[in-house]
Amino acid sequence: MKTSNLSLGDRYAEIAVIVLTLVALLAGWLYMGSVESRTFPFDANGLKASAPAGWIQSEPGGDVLMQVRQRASAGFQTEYTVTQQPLTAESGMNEVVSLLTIRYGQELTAFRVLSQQAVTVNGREAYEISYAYVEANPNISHLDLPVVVRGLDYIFLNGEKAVIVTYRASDAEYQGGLAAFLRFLHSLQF
Amino acid sequence: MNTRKLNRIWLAALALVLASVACIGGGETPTPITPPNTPPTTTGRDNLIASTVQIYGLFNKNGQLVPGYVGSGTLISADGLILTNAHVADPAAVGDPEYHPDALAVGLVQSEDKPAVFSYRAQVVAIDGYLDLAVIRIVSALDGSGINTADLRLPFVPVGDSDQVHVGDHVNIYGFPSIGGETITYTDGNVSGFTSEAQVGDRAWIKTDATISGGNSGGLAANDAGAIIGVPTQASSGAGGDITDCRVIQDTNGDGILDERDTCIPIGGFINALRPVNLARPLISAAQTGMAYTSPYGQVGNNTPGGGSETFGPVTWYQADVNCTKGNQVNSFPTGISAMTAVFAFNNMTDGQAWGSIWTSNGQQIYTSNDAWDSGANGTYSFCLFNSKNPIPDGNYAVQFFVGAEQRMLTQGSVVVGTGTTPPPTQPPTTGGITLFGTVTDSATGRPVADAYVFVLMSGVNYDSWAAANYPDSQILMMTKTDANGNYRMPLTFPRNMPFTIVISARGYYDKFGDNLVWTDSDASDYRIDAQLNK
Repeated sequence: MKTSNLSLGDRYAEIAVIVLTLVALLAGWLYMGSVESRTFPFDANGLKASAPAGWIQSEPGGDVLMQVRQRASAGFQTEYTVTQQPLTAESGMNEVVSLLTIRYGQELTAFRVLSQQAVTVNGREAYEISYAYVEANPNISHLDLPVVVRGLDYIFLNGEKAVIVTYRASDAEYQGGLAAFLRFLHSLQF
Repeated sequence: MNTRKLNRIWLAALALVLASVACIGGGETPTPITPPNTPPTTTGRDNLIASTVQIYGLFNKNGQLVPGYVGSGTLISADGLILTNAHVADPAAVGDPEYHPDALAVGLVQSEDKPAVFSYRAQVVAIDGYLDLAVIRIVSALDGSGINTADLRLPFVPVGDSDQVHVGDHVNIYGFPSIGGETITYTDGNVSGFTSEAQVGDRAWIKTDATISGGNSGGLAANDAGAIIGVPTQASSGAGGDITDCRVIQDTNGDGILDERDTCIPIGGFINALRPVNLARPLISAAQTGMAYTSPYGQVGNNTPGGGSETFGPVTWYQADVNCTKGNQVNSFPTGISAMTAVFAFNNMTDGQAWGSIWTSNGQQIYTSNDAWDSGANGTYSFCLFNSKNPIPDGNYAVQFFVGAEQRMLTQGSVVVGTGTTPPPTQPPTTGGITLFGTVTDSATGRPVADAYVFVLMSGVNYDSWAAANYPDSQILMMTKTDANGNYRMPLTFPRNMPFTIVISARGYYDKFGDNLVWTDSDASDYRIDAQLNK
């Protein structure tokens, strides 16, 4: 039978290494959190928002007021998009929802509405649509597997326009990025 | 009782149980077309709601299909047959050619307090512009990807018997009104009477005291047994009336503003009439069997120029020089002519309406024209055929002149140039014969199939014997090809009361054929056969 022959100093040294490792991990985690939640003020096209810093910002155009994508070397890039579409005085929320799902149904592969409901965001009436679709690299020489993408849209009626705020992420990343998107959503002013 | 005997009893009982389970679980439930006798239940109401669909007409705008107009429909089979109004399925069928949609989007109710979710595309399989009724079929997902309709297992409403509807009967109406929201809406009413029409009979319409707003057009009117007994229909639509209300919902011109410059949606006014479902039975039957449907009620708007009352007189033939200057009338042409002119009188034409011609030589299509009419309402028209200043070859020449998107033939004529040629060995087509026309589409995507061949084989030749002989040309009576929109029209007629085999063939698809089909004297001269080809 063998017994431990570590000295008291050695034991303190081991404990110190463990504590230092934990502190380093905690600091890294806090730093990562601060980097991820870092934002920059977006103010253009009548839209103000706190957009994620370090994300790729696309040039707005057409109905797109704002679009940012997370930097990622591969796979689906998580994105926030704010678009608008014109309305008439008679247009109702349900009509906008129908037109949107018709458009998504044509554009997105295996598009499915998972849920839809009327909600309130920052005291404004809105409509929430949760959906999923499949994104595949159109270049079939790439061996990437198709990705299941989850989407979440918030639709606001704003005078003669409908403003649609969209969050899309791969199914694996969706839940992890939802809180940050909701912070972005609540920062929106238009 | 010994143990072996006991085991046999257990085994027999087990076999009996297994057989019972197999009987209960085996086989598919046939599609019922009879009304259930049970009173309405919560489940029945849920089924009526789930079977009511919203339909958008989609129009191609810069390569994208954008919604144009909206209506309702009712699922009548688990594999996606939908009964609706003709002016919802294709407004062109009721005299609104500017609203001919490029596709139909079908939305299903997932929750009664939520907008319908659009998941499918559908296409028209049987339509009657006079009755303002149509049957459409779900053919693909909204992105155009194929679906196996046999696996859809959609909710559906059985087709009831509208002849058993009586004054005072309760009627339940479901649909998607355009005004006041886009969720499914229920309207309660009673049968208040019936309206007759000379062509249709005493029960041309079921009147109801329910006031149904536009957008419900094509929706569901059910009895308390949960069977469809009528289709809410704007009464003027079936009689060629104008769309009474029109509303813009989509920025179709892409200028960022919704205004009168965008395409508007005909949503109808208010409806208080139902087309009895029994009038739709021939359309449903045609849709279920894949046979073509031809309306026995004629064209919509018979008193309106350009709305079905156009007439062309007989074709007469005139000499023409290389510049198509018209000469003397002739009955035939000598060898070596450089042009010929077909002349006919016309009445009730409308400038701008579609018209065209199909020219054949010895049964082979040699020229087609499709134009907008620009020669006024009445007069005489001269159509010159030339061969780029070269002599026109000897042969038997024929021409058909038609109007409308459906290529309704109004007159035809034939003439011999030079010695002509020997006619086909079987009975030659006669003017009283049948002219086939229709559309060929991909069964999975619903898209038109261009350059598909349509053959009419010699009488008595069936598909198997033709294929076994390696498809000899000598057994083909006539043939044509589909255009870029999948439309075809046979260049010649073939006789009635004789069996003919029709074959439709396209590269990359399985052939589709009908062996030994016979057209009787009661069949329309212009007979539509649409085909959906499978890969």
